[in-house]
Amino acid sequence: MTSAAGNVKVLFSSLKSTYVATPMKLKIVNLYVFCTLCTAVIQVVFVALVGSFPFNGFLSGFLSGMGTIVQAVCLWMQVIPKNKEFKELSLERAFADFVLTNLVLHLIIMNFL
Amino acid sequence: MDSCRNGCLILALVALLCLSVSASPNVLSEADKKFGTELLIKSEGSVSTLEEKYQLLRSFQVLGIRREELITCSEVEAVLMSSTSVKDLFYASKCGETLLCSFQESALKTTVSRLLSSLDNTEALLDIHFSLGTLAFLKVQFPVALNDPVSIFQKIKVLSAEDGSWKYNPDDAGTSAKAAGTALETMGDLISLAGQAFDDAKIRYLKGVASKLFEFLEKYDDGTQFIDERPLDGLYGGGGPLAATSQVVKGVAVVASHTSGHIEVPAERVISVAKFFLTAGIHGSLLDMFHVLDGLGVLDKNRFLVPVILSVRPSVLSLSAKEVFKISTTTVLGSPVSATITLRKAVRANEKEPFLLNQVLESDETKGVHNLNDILNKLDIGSYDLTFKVKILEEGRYATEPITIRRVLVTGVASIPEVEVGVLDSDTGSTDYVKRWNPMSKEVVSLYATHLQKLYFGLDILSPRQEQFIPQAFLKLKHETKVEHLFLLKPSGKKLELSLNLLGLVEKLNYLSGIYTIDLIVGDVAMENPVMWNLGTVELDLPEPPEGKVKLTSQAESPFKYGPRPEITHMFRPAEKRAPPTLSNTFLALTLVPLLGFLVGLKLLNTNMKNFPSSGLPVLAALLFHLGIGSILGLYALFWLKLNLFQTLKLLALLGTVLTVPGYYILSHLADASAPKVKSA
Repeated sequence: MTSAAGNVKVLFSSLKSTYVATPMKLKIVNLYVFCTLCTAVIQVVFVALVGSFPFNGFLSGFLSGMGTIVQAVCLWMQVIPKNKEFKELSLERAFADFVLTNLVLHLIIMNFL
Repeated sequence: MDSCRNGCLILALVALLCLSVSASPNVLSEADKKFGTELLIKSEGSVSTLEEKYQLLRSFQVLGIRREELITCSEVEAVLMSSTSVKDLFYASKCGETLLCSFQESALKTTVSRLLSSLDNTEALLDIHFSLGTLAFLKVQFPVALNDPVSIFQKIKVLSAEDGSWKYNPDDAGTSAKAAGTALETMGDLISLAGQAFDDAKIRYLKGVASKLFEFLEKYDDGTQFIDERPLDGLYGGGGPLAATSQVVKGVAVVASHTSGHIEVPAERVISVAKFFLTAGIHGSLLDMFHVLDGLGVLDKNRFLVPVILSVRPSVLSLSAKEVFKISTTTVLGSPVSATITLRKAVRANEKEPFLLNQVLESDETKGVHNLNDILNKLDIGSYDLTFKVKILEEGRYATEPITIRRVLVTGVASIPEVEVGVLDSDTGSTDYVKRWNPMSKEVVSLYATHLQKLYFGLDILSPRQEQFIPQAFLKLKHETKVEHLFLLKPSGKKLELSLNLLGLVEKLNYLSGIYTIDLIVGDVAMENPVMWNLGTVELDLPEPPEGKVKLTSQAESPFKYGPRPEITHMFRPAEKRAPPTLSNTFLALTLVPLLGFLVGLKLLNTNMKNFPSSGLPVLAALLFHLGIGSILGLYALFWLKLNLFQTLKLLALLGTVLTVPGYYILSHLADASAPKVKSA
């Protein structure tokens, strides 16, 4: 038992130390994804409590969260220094893509709302 | 070219139509004229303007009546002497023409000179029309000379359009055929005033305009043709298609009466226009009646072409009253025209084989009436289509449809010798009881039947010629509680029969047992003696209704049948349940918490804004970039609150373009700034 707990503790501390080493940009993106996920979960809890009317409002909020998470993950993939596919695209270009796709997603979300 | 081709097409179509479904209106009979006169006399009290008085006078003139109570010659003279409006002068002169007044030159000298000077100063078609019309009337009384007839002709001609229609004023936007009719009438008056100014070329031109006007005719489905009113005409008096057609016909007639020789007009179009006026008939307002009568008056007597209409009277012939057919060829107002008429064929309606062919009708030349007596002893009751071929003796002046079809209805007395009433067994069909009911004795029958039997009714109906005849026949069963049921007798072989299988009818009769009275109802449009006979009674013994089926009494049934139904109120879908506001607001606040968490997390991670440019153009670009994104998000908020998608997209396109410039600049600036760093990494 104690060895398992100890193992978990070692695991956590090794994760934490590795994480500190990640670049700042990636940390920001990870934080963004985490917060957006929280927002989506809160909305799901609300629907579970109250019922799904009006359904389109719930969907637009939830999918807005999901969509932006997906885009953030794409940004993450492009920004990570170890990536091999997107070497020729610069970070700024990736960020511009992120901004643009987010704007398009939110236009559609707003229409659906 | 196009109009010629269209004209030919229309000609062919109308020729086809004439042979199929075409209007066959009757000419004005004495009864129609009398009715018209009464209507006109009734409206005498309500006319006040000169134009209305002239319309009334002309209507009476066409009907053949003089009315001097409306306006006298001295009143006309007073108007002619003193009035300054050319329109009033024109209508006064028209009244004078109808009343056959005569005036002295001395009294009207100033009027003439005023009219001549107004002719020099005006460009409007209607003013020229009124002035010339008045002068033409005055010329009949004493000599009148125009100053410059050629310039007046040019003034009228300049208002014409390429396709043969005309304007009323030089600055009019559109043209119309009615204006062309007015122009023709005006030029006809001009010829009567100054004939020597008109050489052959001008006369040919006028005749061409007159012929071309007939291409403006439009068609109704029943084959009549008319000139439609254009929006332009509405500005200058209006009057609808009746006024427009009548004006065109008048214009052509006036030109024809003042020129010698022939005007090319298509005969079947003139006939269709005559039918148009005849189907319009004498009813409606004074104005409509005037236009119809004016048009008919012109078509009755003119020098270009007089349409001749074939009338078959009566259209409903009664055999029992021993009526005979009188067929006549007359003008639209009833004046006889000599012609030979052949009955090409007579066919019973809905049959193919004609029973009479090619019979030349004997005519009574003096009255223009032809007899069709030979046919009478072959006619039975029913509808017939009679096809006539007409050949007019004076071909040049008159025109008619060569082949016309008229439908006539022959009525008579049908006879029903007896009615067979019986009760048969359902399964075997054998007769349990049969009785022959005689209409003479009217002895009622008393039947009794259960639901296992059939009721049978049969009858023969004979026409006056002892042929089989099938009218409409119904049987009515009426219960003591006043509930009625109607059944239709159907023809089978030579009889009309009804066989009621009571087993199947039990439900329709609502399981109501008891005594029903039996009524037989027979009638037809060709039958002069429809009957409703009470044949007797039948006592029906029907089983009880099954469980759950309510036996409707008559009180319950009749309000539903004929009374008002219960009002239907619409039930709207109940509104959906929404969350209570406190809960919603709590969750709204909760949703904003992760955003705060994001900002706190950024602080904890020690993020910085060191890369934000500090001076110069990059600062501006960066600021604009962030402002741009912010403004687009604001636009989305507005989209949600107020705007629709199209407005949003338009604004988004604008803002997006504005955003790309600083965005591209700042991002490329950052890329250049960090490029050495990346390269080194």
